[in-house]
Amino acid sequence: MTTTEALALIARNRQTPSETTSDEELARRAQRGDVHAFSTLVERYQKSIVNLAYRLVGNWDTALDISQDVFVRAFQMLHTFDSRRPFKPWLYRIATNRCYDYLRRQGREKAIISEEEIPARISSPDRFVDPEDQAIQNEIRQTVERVIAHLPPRYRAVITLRYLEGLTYKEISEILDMPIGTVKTHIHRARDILKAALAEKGMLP
Amino acid sequence: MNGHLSNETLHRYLDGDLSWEERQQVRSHVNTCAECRQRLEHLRQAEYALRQITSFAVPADFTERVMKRVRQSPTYPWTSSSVTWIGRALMFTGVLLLIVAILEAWTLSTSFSTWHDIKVQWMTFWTNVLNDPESAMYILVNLDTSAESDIAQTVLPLALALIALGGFIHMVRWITTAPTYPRHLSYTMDRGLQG
Repeated sequence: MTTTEALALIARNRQTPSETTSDEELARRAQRGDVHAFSTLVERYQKSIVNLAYRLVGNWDTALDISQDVFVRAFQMLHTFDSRRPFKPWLYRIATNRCYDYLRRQGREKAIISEEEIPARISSPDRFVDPEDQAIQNEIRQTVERVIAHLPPRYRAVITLRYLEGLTYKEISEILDMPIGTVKTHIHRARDILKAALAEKGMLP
Repeated sequence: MNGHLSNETLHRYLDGDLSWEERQQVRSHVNTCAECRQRLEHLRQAEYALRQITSFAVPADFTERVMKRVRQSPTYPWTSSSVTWIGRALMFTGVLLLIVAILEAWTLSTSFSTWHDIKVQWMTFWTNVLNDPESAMYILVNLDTSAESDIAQTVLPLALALIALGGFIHMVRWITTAPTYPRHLSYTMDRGLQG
């Protein structure tokens, strides 16, 4: 390594992380003790992790606490992260495992999202919704949320990763440590149940 | 194609999981079979509805709270890095040894015995240093060569080596790690927690 290369490396290591810095690069820096790089990762993934946890444990405040644990735990376990592999599945895996642990401790593997939480959250979406559509949209979304709420946690995890995070079946199967076939079955089953629920409400043509 | 399409096939059609021929078969079937067309349409509606789920906004202070806990975590780099601490320990030992060596050499080279002597010697030393800086340099330079002590000759290089090694380790770590949490952000965090 020449002196110029070494100086370039030092300069790169000490620069502030930007939006274009990859997750893996940030994780690598965090591994070397750069806490600022880690806080950038937290900012990047807080929304995904909190929402994933919320779908899994069914309570917003619990989800916030669990998500905090997830990030602190990720920080403590950074030395186990292989920075040649993608960071996202690694973090999501910590999150889902943490949620399953919580559900197991609570002794309610079949925990459902409480009914009164759904409307409160739905009425305050974090993106703009056209008021004209809102009534119909809310109706559909409430039905979807109810259906998801009554699915077992593993189904909810699959649905969230698929439809909220837009992950591929392969990524989901790696994160949740289940065969791709099972992931697909879970999605199909959720679709069937939702189809039945929508039909029951007369919301299908 | 005889009979209706299986539920499985419809799902796989929606997932884009079918081969080109299978897709053509499904298309031609739903074109002629109203029942299967409706089933596919309903599944599509369900898929569309599932895509409607949205995420909810996270409290603004979430990252701050996480980072506060990270800073208290036992693996926080500044408090836990063994490398840093080894470097510091080496430098600290080196400085101690250096002081011992200088005192030792100075004591032997001047041969005083009482406390009063020490004070006089000390005053003389500093008077000399202030009046004639070169003489002070002379004393320091001569410490390791003219002192009649083995300790001064062995301890002094050892002390300097320890300081250098500790400093080197510190420097390497400083270069390879980026700065720890910036002070201005840290201030914001503390204020945020009080408020």
